[in-house]
Amino acid sequence: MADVLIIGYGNILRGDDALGWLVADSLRKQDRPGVEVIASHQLTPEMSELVAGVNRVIFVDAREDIPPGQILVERLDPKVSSDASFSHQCDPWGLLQNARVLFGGTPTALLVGVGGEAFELSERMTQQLDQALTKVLKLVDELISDANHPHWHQNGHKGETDNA
Amino acid sequence: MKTITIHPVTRIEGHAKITLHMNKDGQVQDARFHVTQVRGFEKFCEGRPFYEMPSLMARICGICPVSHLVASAKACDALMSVRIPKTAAKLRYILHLGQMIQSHALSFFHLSSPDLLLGMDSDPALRNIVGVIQAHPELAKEGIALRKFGQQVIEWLAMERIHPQWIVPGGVNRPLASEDRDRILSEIPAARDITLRTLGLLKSILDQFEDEAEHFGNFPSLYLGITDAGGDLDFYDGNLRVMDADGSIIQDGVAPDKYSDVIGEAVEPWSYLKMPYYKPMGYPEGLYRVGPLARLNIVNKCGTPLADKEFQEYHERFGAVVESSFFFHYARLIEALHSIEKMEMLLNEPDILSKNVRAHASANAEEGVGVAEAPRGTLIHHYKVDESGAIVWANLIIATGNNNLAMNHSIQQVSKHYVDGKNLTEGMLNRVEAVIRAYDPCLSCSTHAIGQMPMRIQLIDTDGSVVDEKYRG
Repeated sequence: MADVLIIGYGNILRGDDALGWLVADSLRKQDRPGVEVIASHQLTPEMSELVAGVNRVIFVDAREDIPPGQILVERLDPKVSSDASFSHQCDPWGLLQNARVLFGGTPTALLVGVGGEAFELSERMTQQLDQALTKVLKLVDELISDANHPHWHQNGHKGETDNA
Repeated sequence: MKTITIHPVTRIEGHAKITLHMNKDGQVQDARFHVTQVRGFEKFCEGRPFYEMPSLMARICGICPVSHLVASAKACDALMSVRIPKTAAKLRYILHLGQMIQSHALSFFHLSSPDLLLGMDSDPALRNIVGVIQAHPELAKEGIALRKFGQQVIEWLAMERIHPQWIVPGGVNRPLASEDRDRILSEIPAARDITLRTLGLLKSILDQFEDEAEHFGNFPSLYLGITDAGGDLDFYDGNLRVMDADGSIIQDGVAPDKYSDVIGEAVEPWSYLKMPYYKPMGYPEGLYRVGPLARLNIVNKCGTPLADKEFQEYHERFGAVVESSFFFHYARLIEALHSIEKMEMLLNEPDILSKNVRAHASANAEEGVGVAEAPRGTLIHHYKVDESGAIVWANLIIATGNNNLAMNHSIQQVSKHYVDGKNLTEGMLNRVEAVIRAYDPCLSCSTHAIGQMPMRIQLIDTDGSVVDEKYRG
């Protein structure tokens, strides 16, 4: 059983939305023991079983509600019920909730959000997010390697980091 | 005339609104289903090399990208003037079956089961997948497992669950590995059992929905789809067949490239979704339905043993021609069962591991048509290219679009029966949504938000004053 699950998601044809997918794609090529990586277009219901089966989960996603280039790490509380739109597309809170209810899993979960600027149709990210990619990979690597990293033990659910 | 507007009805896969037009007595006189989003794929692919089309067209949808891959690749095969290797056709079909399973599982378990298991009038805050998970956790797990199986088949074959690129013009881009075949075969029994159990559950509760079955898009219509040469169910290949409301085959064996002899397309100023119709009967009399309900009407049989047993029971119970759109749910599960059985049959074929899986050619024809049966109905991709093989024109008849006239007719029927113009209720709103959801359009993802779909309904008097207003979400 893997210790850590990384889910990087986003549409690689929508500019900065590709960031999460690219982070995961880079990580899965490393093939690290104890680490399972999913690079996906979107979060889907069946991922909740995978989420339930690990100790720690890191979601990576580009976001419109964060200033471009800024990285925001949130610890996700699995006890908080989420108003997730649960059709073929979910959000991290919905996955965590269903991981708990259906499969009895309560991993510690973080959402690494990176502020994106442009989400229109494009095969390229903006320069700012291109530059952020390396920083995000380094951060996620630290989070994987160190289960005692402060972000895993945040009491409030948001911890901001430096700008990318 | 008073107008009740439900807007927005949808998000993501499509945006729509519904307008109910009331007469002076407060009765519904007309109802319209307006699709308010333009995708534009037919236009922005112009100038692209034809061999890019499957990959581009898969982006039309996140739920059924494989259907677009199949139809698009078949159109490209026609442009290349090639007959693809038999193994390649079988492999494409297996991928397509994986999608049928996951899409039908999604439709039933995530989108429709809240209405069916919790009730049409149940608390909207709980009438969603969260409510199903709370009330029926084992069923919810089985729904996730069944969809996961379909998605895993796609991933094991094509390396991506969403927008896979394994299907290419001329075939597929690599053969099937024996370990992948064995992996899929090992998961089939569990998937089959889940589907049989779910069918059993649905059959046991159908009597609770007699009123809905009577009024949810229950009307005579034409039915259209493709069948194999023997008139049996085939999602991958075949010719077009049209059946009338009495069960008579009025057109059969129409080759895909002759689709325009059979299908015309009208447009209305109040919707971006085209209105396909049966051309010989004109518009709008040529209304027809596609998808699971239509397919199980037009075919002689499914062609796999368990599904055929269910097929027979289904028609014995509801008639040789099943008319009510409510029974899309039942037909959908039979198709899921057939898909699992058919997948097993194909995987056990002696040539399924053949390395000969692709034909290679440039564009040798100016025009190509590909037709497949998507989860939601007949899907047509029609391309024209210039001498260099660049797309100069494309026409897509999307599965959901084929049902547009029928969905409009269904909304009229359900709203006339359930809507009290003087007193709007939430249960009425849900039934208007639910009849659309029965068709499982790509819009249905966005008509079933958790908790409550944001909706505002106003009842406006002839002098413009708001007589009644209800909000949700």
